Amino acid sequence: MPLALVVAVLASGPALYNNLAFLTTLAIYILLAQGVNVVYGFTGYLPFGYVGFFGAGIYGSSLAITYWHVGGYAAIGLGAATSIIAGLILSPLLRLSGAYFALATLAASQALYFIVANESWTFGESGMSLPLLFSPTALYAISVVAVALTLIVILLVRDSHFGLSLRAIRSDPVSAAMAGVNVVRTRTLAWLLSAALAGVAGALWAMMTSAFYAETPFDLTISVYAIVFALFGGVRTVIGPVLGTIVLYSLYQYIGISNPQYFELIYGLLIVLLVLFLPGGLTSLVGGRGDRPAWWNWVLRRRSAHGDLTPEGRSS
Amino acid sequence: MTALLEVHDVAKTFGEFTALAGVSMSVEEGQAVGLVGPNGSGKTTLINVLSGVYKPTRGTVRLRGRDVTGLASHRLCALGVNRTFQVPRPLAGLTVAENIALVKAGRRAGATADLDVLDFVGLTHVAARRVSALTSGEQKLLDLARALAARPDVLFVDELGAGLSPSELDHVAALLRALRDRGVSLVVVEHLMGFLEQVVDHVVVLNAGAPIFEGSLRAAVADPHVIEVFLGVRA
Repeated sequence: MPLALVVAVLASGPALYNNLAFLTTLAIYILLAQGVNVVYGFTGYLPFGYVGFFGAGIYGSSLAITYWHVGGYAAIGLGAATSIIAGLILSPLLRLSGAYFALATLAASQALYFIVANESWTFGESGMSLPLLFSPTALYAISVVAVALTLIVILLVRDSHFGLSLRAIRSDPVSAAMAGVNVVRTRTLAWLLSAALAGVAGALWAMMTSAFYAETPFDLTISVYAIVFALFGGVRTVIGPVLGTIVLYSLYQYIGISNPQYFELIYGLLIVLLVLFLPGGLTSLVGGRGDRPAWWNWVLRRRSAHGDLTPEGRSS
Repeated sequence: MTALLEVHDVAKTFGEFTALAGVSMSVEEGQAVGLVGPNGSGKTTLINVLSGVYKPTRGTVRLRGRDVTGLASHRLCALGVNRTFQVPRPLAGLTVAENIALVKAGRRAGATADLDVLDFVGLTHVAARRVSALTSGEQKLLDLARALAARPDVLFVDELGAGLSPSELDHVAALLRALRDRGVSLVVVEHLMGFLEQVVDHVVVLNAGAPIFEGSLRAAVADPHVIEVFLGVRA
């Protein structure tokens, strides 16, 4: 099954390409892309400030390590807990919709950044500096396990009544409520799950990086990448965000670091092509979720536009 | 005996606009009530209030004597209140079967507990299809099936007949009669009188957000005030 394949590929990553920092960051981005998948793919809320949860996880785990001298696994748990608390505090934002929600999460993440960057107890001026809790190899192994567990959780969500409720809410909250779905509670749970994933990713990143200033964890580029990776692969699928992250982040590694200007250009083109021709993401190419593949729809539309074929079925 | 559903002086205003000026009505167990009135008279607003889509500005709603005023839709659904939508709102991203699977009614008894709702409305053959592939008539039937899957005791049916072909109308009227005969209380909003007289035995006529008549359909169409409201002339 494809998920086991993904985990196998990641696990054998170091044998294929011996750059643990790259591979661990890749795993972290897979977690973030899956977090976006949960909140955007399943509920339709676009979290532009998603990086705020990542930052909350980074600082939650780092401060716990610094002040309480907790171990690495406890730091991961506390990172997730910090992000969940941030998610609870921000859950009233779910009352907003569309662009207002996206902007409000953006503002919230920047507010958190300014707090963290200016307070002395968060080492805003001196920067955070952590002891080495795991060897790079061990940290990568933990990251692969985190990805594997996340994929199982996403799979369970997708196939559960909870996942069905989320899709129903995304489709029509009024009608979903009439079908007995507690819209507020279901949305909030998805939001907190998504926050927890970013928290775990943040803790892993903190332990990998070990010395950093607040600018890096709260960089909005991280939100944008996580969103684009998820969309490129295809949201509402389990495999899509993984594929999107692997393809695009590898591309970034290949040309983005040596020639960032070309990377931005290719990246921009890719996003345009994605929006125009592949709104369902890579996974829609093979017709995931029982749909007709997106490219075939496109062919049908083109041919019907020339008047030589009517698309079968009705428009969707 | 207390009525199944008792609506007392329910009002709803949107800013300056009064959509419901204070409606009182009651629905007995197993009764089918028609809700009629010109466009803008507040029929759909009343159903939106009674199904938890809006909170009323004033008034109380009781279900079997229990105060359910302003409860959210999912709570009302669990208590046995459900509805169809005027413009059907089946969940478009889901398949027909998923629309029904979404409704967890396992714990509720109710008059339709033994009903295979897709079979009842005649949609079993499209169960695996996505909603977006259904005709508008099929979407209306799915909306009804979704509401029935929650095993309601009282069902609001908001213009289910609008836009249907004559044979589809007969089908829907037969379905609603079968539900009534099973003991499901119905509140049916409808403009089509021929459809309504096949289903209901009692009507409430709304005008400008307030009831102006309550009684049999036959008496309603003979009532001078009702005629004036509908036709704009004095009889």
